Amino acid sequence: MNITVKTYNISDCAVFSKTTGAYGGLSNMASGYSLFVNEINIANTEILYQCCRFPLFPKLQEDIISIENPMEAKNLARKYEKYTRQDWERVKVDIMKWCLKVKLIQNNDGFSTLLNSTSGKQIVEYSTKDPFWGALPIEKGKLQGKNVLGRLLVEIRETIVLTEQKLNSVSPLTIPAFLLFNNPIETIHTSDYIIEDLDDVYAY
Amino acid sequence: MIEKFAASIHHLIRDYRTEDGIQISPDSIIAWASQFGDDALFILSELSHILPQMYIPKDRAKQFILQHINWLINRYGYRGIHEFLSDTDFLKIQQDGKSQQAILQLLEEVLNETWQTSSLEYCTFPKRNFVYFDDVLATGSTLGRQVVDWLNSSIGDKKYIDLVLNDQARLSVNLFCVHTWGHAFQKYRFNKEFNDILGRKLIWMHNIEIQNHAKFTNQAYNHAFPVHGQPINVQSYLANLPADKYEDYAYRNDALPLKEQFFSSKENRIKYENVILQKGIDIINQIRGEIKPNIRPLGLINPSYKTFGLGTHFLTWRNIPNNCPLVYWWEVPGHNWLPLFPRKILE
Repeated sequence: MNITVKTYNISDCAVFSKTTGAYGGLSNMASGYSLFVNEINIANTEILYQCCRFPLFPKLQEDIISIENPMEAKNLARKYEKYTRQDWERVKVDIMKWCLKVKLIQNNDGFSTLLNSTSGKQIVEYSTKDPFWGALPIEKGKLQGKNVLGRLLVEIRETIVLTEQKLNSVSPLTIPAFLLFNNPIETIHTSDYIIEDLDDVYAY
Repeated sequence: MIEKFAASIHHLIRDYRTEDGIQISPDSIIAWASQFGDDALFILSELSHILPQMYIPKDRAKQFILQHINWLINRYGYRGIHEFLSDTDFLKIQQDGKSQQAILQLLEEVLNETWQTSSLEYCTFPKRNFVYFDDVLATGSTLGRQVVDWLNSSIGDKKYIDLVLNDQARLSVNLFCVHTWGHAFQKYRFNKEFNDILGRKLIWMHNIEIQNHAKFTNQAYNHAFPVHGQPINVQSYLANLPADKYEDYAYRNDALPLKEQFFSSKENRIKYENVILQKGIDIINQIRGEIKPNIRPLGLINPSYKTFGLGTHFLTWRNIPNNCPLVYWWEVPGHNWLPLFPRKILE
């Protein structure tokens, strides 16, 4: 991805800043998009992303997951920033993209509908602080920043959702130490794969 | 020595299904152990170590129920049993003869003995607390489906889920025993069914936890979970299973648990698991005709799971779950196997 700073006209874009509003579900902090990674329940994408920062610290990952509140989880991660994986700046965009695919595959109906609703528009995360993942207001009606999160969402919309590609699984990243609780993160599956009640079909 | 272990085991499990006319004796325990040949003494020795952790006699079940009632009274802030019972409905969802019915009957004994009352005295009161009692959540699929169906069912012009979300009703799932792996799946089910809004409004309470989630931290693995390095026939058995999910849960990392607290030692655990696994495969090899796809040597499981079974080590005075290893309960006419715990099977 060629990450350059861009300027956006708010009126032409699908803008989200908090978890509420028409596009609030695009935020990594949005509730209603829980995840199941290595058969572990994770409340939202922000928490999954923050866990991926600390592959060698399962206790910290456990603490982040148990918090459930995404903002508190982010603050906890900030507190332990020095334990971030050393190659974080190089891998964080790939990790974010992977997290978004996990969000899509496990919340396909809701998330693909939401992405569909932004069709034809740039997706922009409005931020007052983060010009990398989002874009900052520069003048009335305009935002400026690298908006990497917005771009990743557009990429997923264009390559998966709008092409009606059926995502059956999401493979783990091939980066070193892609771990959750000391175990390699495995392939992510759909909800139908996970909840398949055959127990009573052949009851003994 | 073998008689001593058999006597000790018999003393512990003496009330197993006596209400159904089943009588386990020291002799029947020895006969069961003899089926393990040279390992008979070892098996009984290890079993006498783990059985107190896995067998729930009727008296202990009543203590568990009392514990649940007190937990709920505390949790909901009631001053006493009568106010609590006025507001509470103990759900009767499971089929007659299943464990829920037996637990509710035991509940009435507990209420009578402890408070000289009965839940039946409060039937006509409007309810706001709903309690789903069960003995064990293994994979949890039955419980999960039943709770989802109940929440989606209507009372008047509303659904129970709406009442729970609006705090007009409270739902708790009260279990003697929960498996952490299955528990994770059912929490996921509820998240997806109700768009993550049920969350902490569903209250879970349990007395015993079987920590069998191989991707959690600090699991005790208080169940049978074999390690790698199995003989070829065991490896072939697994490889040939027509199943394709969760193969990474078939074998335990032999460095875990960090501290062995269930079996008598790390070494004895491995030996015990291997013996009952091998015997379980021998039992399956006796089956003529179709082998039901959910049968595994270490207990029944979802047929799509490529594992040896849950290896559950939990049973009550009333019955043994079929998630327990086959060696404990397998009883098929014509098969060369005596069970230790004959299993109650509903018609």
